Amino acid sequence: MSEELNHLVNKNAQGRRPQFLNTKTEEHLLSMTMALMQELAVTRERLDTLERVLEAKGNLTTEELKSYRPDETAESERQEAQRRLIATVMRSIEQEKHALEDLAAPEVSQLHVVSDDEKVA
Amino acid sequence: MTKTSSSLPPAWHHVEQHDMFPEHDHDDVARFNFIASMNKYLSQTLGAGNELSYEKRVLPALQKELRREPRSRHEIREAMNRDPYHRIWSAAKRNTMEQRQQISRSIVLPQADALAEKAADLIEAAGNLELDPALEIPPYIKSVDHHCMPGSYHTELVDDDVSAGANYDMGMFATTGGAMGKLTDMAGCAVVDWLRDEYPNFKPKRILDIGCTIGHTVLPIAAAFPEAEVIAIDVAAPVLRYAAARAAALGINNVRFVQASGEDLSRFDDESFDMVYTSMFLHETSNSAISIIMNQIYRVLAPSGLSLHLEQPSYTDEMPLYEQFIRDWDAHNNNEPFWSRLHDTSIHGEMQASGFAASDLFVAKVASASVTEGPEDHGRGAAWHAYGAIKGE
Repeated sequence: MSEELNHLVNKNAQGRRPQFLNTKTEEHLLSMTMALMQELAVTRERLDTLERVLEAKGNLTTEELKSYRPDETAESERQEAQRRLIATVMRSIEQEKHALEDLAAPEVSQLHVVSDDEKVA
Repeated sequence: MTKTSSSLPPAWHHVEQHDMFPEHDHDDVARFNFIASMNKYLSQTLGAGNELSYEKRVLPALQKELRREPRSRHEIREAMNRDPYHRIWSAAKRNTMEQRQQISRSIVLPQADALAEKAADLIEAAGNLELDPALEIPPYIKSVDHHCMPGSYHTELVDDDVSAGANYDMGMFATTGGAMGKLTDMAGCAVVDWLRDEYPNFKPKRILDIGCTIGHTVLPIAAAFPEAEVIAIDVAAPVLRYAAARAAALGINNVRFVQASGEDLSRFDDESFDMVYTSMFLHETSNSAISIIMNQIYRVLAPSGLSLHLEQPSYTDEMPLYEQFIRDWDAHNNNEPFWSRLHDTSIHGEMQASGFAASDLFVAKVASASVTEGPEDHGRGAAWHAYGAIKGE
């Protein structure tokens, strides 16, 4: 099933990602800002389409927009749209999580395991 | 080609919606519109700031530090990588590459099965695909995801997968701001125009494209020589399946897509092609591969045959160091590890080593008619250096 591939949409590209800015945090903030800009541009284009189509049909009233309530189908479509928007904006952090997932676990011997004796002491 | 002013890329809905093209909606189009506009803004509006910063503060500081002029693009890169302007510009540009991948993956992956089925039907009817599941993916493809393309060309996600090809096809129009045309075929069109001008009597009977990806460059060449038998090879099955289905959808029926490496053309007889070419392919190979590929090409090329290789210009001593540095951006920041080395390599030297005489060699500038005025978006414009040779009798 293709839906099972959804988790691969935000997959990292194999290869070292350069760090351009001072900190990882700055990199994430820039990535999020750019994704937000993208999604704002998309929203504006959608609104523009909506307004032009409705105006051409001559049947838009402000009251209709204000009182609109989505039906069940529309509601689930909108919630899914919300999820996708968030996954898009949060991509860079998700990718860092993928990198953490791929990171080898440290050898047990490197861990300082607190023994029961030490706890008592 | 859609005509727009140089500052505004064409809207993405002008892309050719052939039968194999993935389904997409209003907001997908708007996302690609954003990417194309952002790329244009980064190259045309902000791009020049890099050179300003270099000339006004980075170079003077570097001269002081070195007590001499910089001697290589690498010295310039190290200094520029400390410059705040170049860093934020590079960071933004890298993000557009990553965003472009995410956009098309979010469209293609949910319909991967449907696309695979559609492609299988088109391929079965056309009979234009020959896969070799035993083919080893070369290390230069396997070890890095070129231009930030997760899974690269070869990763299979579903049975009969075409998603890598579909992903590639969707994004090119946005990445290049439409400069490669509605079918991303401007390189092929430019070669056809150039051949008509320079060699009007050249009528190749057999043509080989090495590293064809989705066949976007080979189709206009095949269409220009409808009598020719055209073979397009690539190592990656997902892009080849998509290429074969796409060619069928576009009604081009004289191209056979074959899964094979340019390093092993043993399936083809000596002197059996009149034209062998690559387009923006050599920079995704390796030092050792390029010698082997050139030797293979020389062997399969018939006397008076044409060997032609489209790339961005090599870094010669005549090219200013700053230009070398900025042309090298993709090598270090867009997962193109061989880009830098290739442009230091003499493609002509490799061709000569394979058997061509020095007098057989030429370099030509080929460009699409749609090339826009204004600052160059290095590596993404529809203009190439063609390193070529005609094999002596």
